[in-house]
Amino acid sequence: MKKLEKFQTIFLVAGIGFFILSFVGMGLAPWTTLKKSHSEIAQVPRTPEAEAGRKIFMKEGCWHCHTQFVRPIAGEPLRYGPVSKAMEYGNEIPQLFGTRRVGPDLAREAGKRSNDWHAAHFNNPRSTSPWSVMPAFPWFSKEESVQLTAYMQSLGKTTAEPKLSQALLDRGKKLFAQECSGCHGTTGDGRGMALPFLTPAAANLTWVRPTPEYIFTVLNRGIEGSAMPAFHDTPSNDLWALAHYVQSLSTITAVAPKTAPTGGKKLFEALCVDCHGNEARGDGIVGAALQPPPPDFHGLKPAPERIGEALAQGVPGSAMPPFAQLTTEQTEALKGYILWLIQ
Amino acid sequence: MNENQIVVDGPLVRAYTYTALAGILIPLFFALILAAKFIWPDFLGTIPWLQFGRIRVFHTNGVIFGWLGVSFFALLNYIVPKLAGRPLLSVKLGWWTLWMLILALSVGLGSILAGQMQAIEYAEVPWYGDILFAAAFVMAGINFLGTLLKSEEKQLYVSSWYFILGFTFTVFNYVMGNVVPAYFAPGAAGAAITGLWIHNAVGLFITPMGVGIVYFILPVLLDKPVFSHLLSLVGFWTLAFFYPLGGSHHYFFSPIPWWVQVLAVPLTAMLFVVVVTVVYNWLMTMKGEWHKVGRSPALAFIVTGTFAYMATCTQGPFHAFLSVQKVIHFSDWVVAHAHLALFGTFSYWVIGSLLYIWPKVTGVPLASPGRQWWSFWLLTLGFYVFYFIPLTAGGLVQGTDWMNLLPFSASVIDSLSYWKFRLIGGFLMYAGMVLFALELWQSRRSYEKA
Repeated sequence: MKKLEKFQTIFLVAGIGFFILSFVGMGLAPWTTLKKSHSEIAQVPRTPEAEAGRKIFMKEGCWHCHTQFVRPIAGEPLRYGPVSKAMEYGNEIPQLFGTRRVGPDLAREAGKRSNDWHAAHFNNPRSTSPWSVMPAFPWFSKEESVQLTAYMQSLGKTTAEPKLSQALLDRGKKLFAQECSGCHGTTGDGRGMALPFLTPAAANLTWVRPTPEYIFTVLNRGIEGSAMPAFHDTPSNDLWALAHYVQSLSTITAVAPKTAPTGGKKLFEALCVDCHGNEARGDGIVGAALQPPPPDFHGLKPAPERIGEALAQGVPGSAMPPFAQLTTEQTEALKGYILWLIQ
Repeated sequence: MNENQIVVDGPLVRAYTYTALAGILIPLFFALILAAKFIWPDFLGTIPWLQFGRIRVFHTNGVIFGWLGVSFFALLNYIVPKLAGRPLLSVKLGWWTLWMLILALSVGLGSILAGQMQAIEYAEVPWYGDILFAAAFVMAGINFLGTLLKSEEKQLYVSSWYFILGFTFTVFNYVMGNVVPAYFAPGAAGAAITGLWIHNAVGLFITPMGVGIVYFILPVLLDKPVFSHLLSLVGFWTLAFFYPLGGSHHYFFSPIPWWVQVLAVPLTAMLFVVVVTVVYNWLMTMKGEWHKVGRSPALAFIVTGTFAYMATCTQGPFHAFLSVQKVIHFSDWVVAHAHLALFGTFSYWVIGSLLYIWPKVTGVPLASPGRQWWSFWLLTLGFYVFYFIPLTAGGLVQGTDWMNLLPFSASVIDSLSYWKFRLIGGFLMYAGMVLFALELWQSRRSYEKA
């Protein structure tokens, strides 16, 4: 034991002691405080496909140039979306925050670009962004490209949608009055103070019964070609509150017909599909290029009154023309067919 | 400190040095490809194992473990026996450590090129490589610390303090960095621990090894004792206490709990005290000896590295101010800062020290002082004028482009001219490093002929 009494031992003990201080004080302590916030919100696990994409992201070193957290500074919430919270990363092992940003942050990449865009971009980034210095991955198999795309489309979507509650609707009501009522009106009927200035007019939200997911997407992206701005810098919980509140504004009572009315399909195919698409999802060959684009009726769920108004008067400020030449029976058949299609 | 022939095993030091030379020339060559890819992103773009992400990691891991790690061990194989006044605990173990290191480097770096990496910065080598590295490190630790513990010298010199601290701390730090964030700690908790690992790898492995080596080499080169024992003590204990606590400053403004981030600000600022104490101690040792710098390339490398050490460790506390972070974080400024530490400081110290010990382990003088000066000036010109200054400026441009909410593309397009300077700097630095390697290699050859 004489050896242990030597001067040398002090430095050996110091090495161990200072490591413990470091690990406990600056490693374990924050971990303990975070455990609570990690369990605060339900996490949506990634699909196996997106999980495989994450593995590619890790082994190709993508995280050395693409960070994955939005900071509350330097205008980042405007560029990327809401500031990142610890609870969003409760399932991330290992974390991929990153320390260098040669390319843009990816924390909120989901939904910003189409799958096609990602496929072209992985094959050669110069094809979509001629200024980019990102390496090309021409050797990716189709499967790998699809997996990585699925991962991109999962980023920022790991937190679950909040459960519908009275508190959530109250929050939505408050936000609606604060952010939306100027154009959409205090009751959502589209008759706000801005009405005389807007073409196309703000939507009459009492004549539609949109799904919360649809509203959430519209709020995130805005509507190009209209006065509807994007609210992607608003926390997602608030967007969900608004989405549920907007749905509750609907006054629709009409029920969709049980069978497709005769003649409606023929009319729809002759007059509407080029823009609205075969199933009225707004994805017709012409529609995709329009601003504002034709809405996805399955998400928007317009009332018969709204469809009738649009057929009679068109939608000023958009490519939708009036169809005044239709007879009353034809109009009813078309309305009925659309309602049957989107129920 | 007796005659070296008695305690130092020359062939062992030489073998480590050759490995270290491969450990710089190969990753530095990859760095040239990286720099070129920033200008021509499709250069060699169809070869998976030359993909940017993979060779970036090859470069960082290669220089940290293959160059700095192995060259530190080369120097320790010389310095530790000198300090202990006795031969290494086991020369045989020293050789086995070297074989283990070469195996770890081949497996680790090879697997990265093959596209098998762990997503933790500076710990990208997959688990099977980690085990080999850890084994080599523990073997080296047993050999060096065992030699120091068995020493019969009355007083333990300051270099030994640093070596003992560095080895014991890093054994634990390496395991923590490679295991906890990879398998256990999620999200922000994982980031806090990754931050500690990155920070401690520099602060409690590379720094104590480098500082310990200079504490040995500088007095030997000048043939006089260190200025102040008290300052040595202050510098050592402030490093040991403050350095391990600042790790979360690598993730400022992240979802890591805010108290951890703000606590890291003053704890990082304290590192200024550490560097000022150590550098003041060395510069006071230099007092009256400055005329020697012009006559000794080895001393020129040590002194230039010391100024870089002062600069990079002053940058660090300055970076910890949150208002500075806002602009420079994520940008090339940080890349330049990291190179000022690992290249401008520690690589210079290693080169200077190797130039000094080489004649002692080969038995012949170095072949050409002129070539050593060419190496010094090519490295210095290439690094400061073409690498450090342009990248620092480029980082400011990127940071302000982001803050001004310009389209993201602006920050890439505006960087291009700075990245071109970097490629020129890379060629100059590579030429300087080749001259240095040639100098050692040729001095060795002439010894064999003799």
